Amino acid sequence: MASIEIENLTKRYGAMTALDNVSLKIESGEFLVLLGPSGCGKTTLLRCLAGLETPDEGEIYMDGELVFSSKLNRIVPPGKRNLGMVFQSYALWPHMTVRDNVKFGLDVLNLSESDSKNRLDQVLKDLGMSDLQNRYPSELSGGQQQRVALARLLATKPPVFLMDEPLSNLDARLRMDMRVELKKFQASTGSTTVYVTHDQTEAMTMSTRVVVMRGGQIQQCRLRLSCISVQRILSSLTLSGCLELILFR
Amino acid sequence: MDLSTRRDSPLMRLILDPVNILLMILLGVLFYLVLWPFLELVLHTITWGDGDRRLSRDAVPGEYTWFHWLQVTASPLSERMLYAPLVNTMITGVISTVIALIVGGGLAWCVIRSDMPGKGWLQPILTLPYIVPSFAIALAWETVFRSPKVGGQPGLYETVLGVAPPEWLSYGTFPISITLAMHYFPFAYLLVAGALATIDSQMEEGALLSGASRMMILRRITFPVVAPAFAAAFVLTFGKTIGQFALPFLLGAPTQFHTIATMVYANLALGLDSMAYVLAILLILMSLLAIWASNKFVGNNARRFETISGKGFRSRQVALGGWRWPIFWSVAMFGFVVGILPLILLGYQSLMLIDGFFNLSNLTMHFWTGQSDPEIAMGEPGVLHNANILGATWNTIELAFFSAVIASLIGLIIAYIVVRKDGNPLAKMLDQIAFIPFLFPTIAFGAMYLTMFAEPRGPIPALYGTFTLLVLISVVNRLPYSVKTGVTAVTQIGRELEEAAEVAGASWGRRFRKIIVPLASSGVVTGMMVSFVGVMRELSLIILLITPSTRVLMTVGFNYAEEGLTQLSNALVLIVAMLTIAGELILWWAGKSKLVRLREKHS
Repeated sequence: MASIEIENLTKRYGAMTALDNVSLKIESGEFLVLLGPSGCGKTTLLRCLAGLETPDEGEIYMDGELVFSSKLNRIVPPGKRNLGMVFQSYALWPHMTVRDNVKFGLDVLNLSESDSKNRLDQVLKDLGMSDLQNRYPSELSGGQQQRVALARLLATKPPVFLMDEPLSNLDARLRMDMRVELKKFQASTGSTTVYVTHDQTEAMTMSTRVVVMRGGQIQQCRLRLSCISVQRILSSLTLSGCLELILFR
Repeated sequence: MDLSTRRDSPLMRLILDPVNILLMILLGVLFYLVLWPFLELVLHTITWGDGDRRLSRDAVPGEYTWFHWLQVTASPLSERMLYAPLVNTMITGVISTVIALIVGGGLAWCVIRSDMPGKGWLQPILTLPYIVPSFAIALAWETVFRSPKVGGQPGLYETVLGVAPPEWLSYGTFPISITLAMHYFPFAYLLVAGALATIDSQMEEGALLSGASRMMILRRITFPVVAPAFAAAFVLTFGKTIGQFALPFLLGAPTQFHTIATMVYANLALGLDSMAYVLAILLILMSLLAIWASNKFVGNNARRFETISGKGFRSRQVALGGWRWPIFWSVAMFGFVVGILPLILLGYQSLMLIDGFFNLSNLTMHFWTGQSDPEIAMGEPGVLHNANILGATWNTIELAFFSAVIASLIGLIIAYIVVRKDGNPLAKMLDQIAFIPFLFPTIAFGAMYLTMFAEPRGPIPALYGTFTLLVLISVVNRLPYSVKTGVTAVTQIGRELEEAAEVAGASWGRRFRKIIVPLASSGVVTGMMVSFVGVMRELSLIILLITPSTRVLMTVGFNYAEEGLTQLSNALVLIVAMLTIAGELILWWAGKSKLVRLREKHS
């Protein structure tokens, strides 16, 4: 399990400031949702955590270890940060079967043949993908592709999950089911999760905490809710549009 | 600061990044193999050479001079040496390129995107003209349209119709433009087809749903998406046509019709090296202009054309309806005329005891299976008994194979660096240097390497006369194409696919092997095929570097043609054609087994 600490992170693209002095502490095991309109910097923040973008200023600690520091000139590459990521497009490798897609991360870990096989079978079974394991991504429905992306994430058992709008490509019904499932897997692994979305319902139902971003800055991060209270708030507020009011006040 | 911290510093990461290491190594190697020979070429044109004393009494070998440049551009000779050939080059180049693009692009669409029947066997036939060496097409044209006005036997045209063909049909602009287009349209076809094959038909279906007509979709969706490939195809084809010397030489020289390329060749043959190099540099400048225009359009828009996402990819074919069979028959007829007929003509000609005499009693197998007979062909035995030719065959296959594989791999690596390090000035420089060999007319490129590697320099031994040098120049010559192909392929691979592997902890080498190579393979295999075929029938590039132990089929064939042994030369050309067809089939099949699996899964 791992906590994440972000201190004064700034990222600029030319004249545009994507992240403006962002500081945030994420507790171990937390399910943190980054919520905000498109272009607010939430995806950039996630990619900085993953190590796919190099911030211009600031520090990032993961599990107490410094993984990025502009002052100390330190950048730990993505593969060494011990995290898993689900991309918005899923980024499934189209030339590999479902099984190969999931196996890739395990191959990198250099596990023993039997260990790797056991874990692979377990993950595929957990996600109900055992029957589909020899198919190619293009032969799967959107929901199934989503599961492969999730299996790929779970297989290596990373202490940190990063998710970039993973449900935005699914239809409404499936999205609801997947929300529950995602949450279930996150809870069972206890991995610290950072989840990017612009969907308020998603934010409220899944998170233990919501961080609202705007213009590269954090607007609001004190909203800490238990699942039950989220449900209650949702049922009473979503439809009346009050949620917007609370979040962006 | 402990070691791991130091390794994680941005500077060390920059230095240890395998992509950056490769970038630096490739920059160094390409500088030596591409730019340095070019500088020597330029230097050669502004220096008095040893042989220049016969041109001018003022010549002092080793001293700088503008003499050669002035001779070419502003002397009584200039009109014939430069300006008339320049006009001819532009006219034949543009006409043939436009025809090749229209024909190649149209066929590519029919084969890749429509439900035209018979694609499986039409496709190889349509690439045949490119497999046949260009001077063979010229010979086939001559077989039909030879005009007795320039001497020799009449052609098939006159034999059948009883009248001599008009001169414009036999020699000059018209036959050169048409035969160049015939030779190069498959090249344009392959480039456009590669791009068309990667279009997600959902894009077109989207337009269809919004009520767009079929023509409108073609014009507004399909064409803009393949436009970069079209632009690239135009520049590549144009550059090839203006650098082509053998074909215009055969169909132009008899009536004193010269292009810049044939003037380069003619000057080299006369020993006027520096004049030839001045013309070569001018030729280079012409291509430069075209390339600049294309890069301006394609380079800046690379990301815009990222069409494969990680999600499913579909390619659905357009129904031709009532046009299905008429289109099929037109394409089949066309394929026969440009792909098979020239080979039949060559084959027939290789069976004629006396060239140009169309009569059954004139047929013989002598040039194929005959033993040496001092009465015929200066005692040369038939090609199948000729020990030289067997050795040359093996050399040809080896050269083409190694060059194609090495060029494709290096091309893909360079393409990867160029696409992924978009904005890095060094990567941009690498892209540009890798493209420079394209600007070299092949004959001049060969001459550059001849001067570069004739004697040992520093740690580099004298490579002249070695097989290595042939592979080297062939690889460098193919690089511009393999990089272009690679860029097209890598551009289509979404960045997230690689990032997903990066997050999983895969090293760069592993990502390249497991993600980039397999996903780029359909494009790269096509490129490899083009290279394999291209190297096998390449002549002007290596003719100056060949020694008896490294001779290849094309140079042997060319020598026969030079000696007037047309039948033997035709027989050899046919052997080259058979070999390239075989090679193409092997590569096609190897790439297909993988592709078909993917495609089947997609459909």
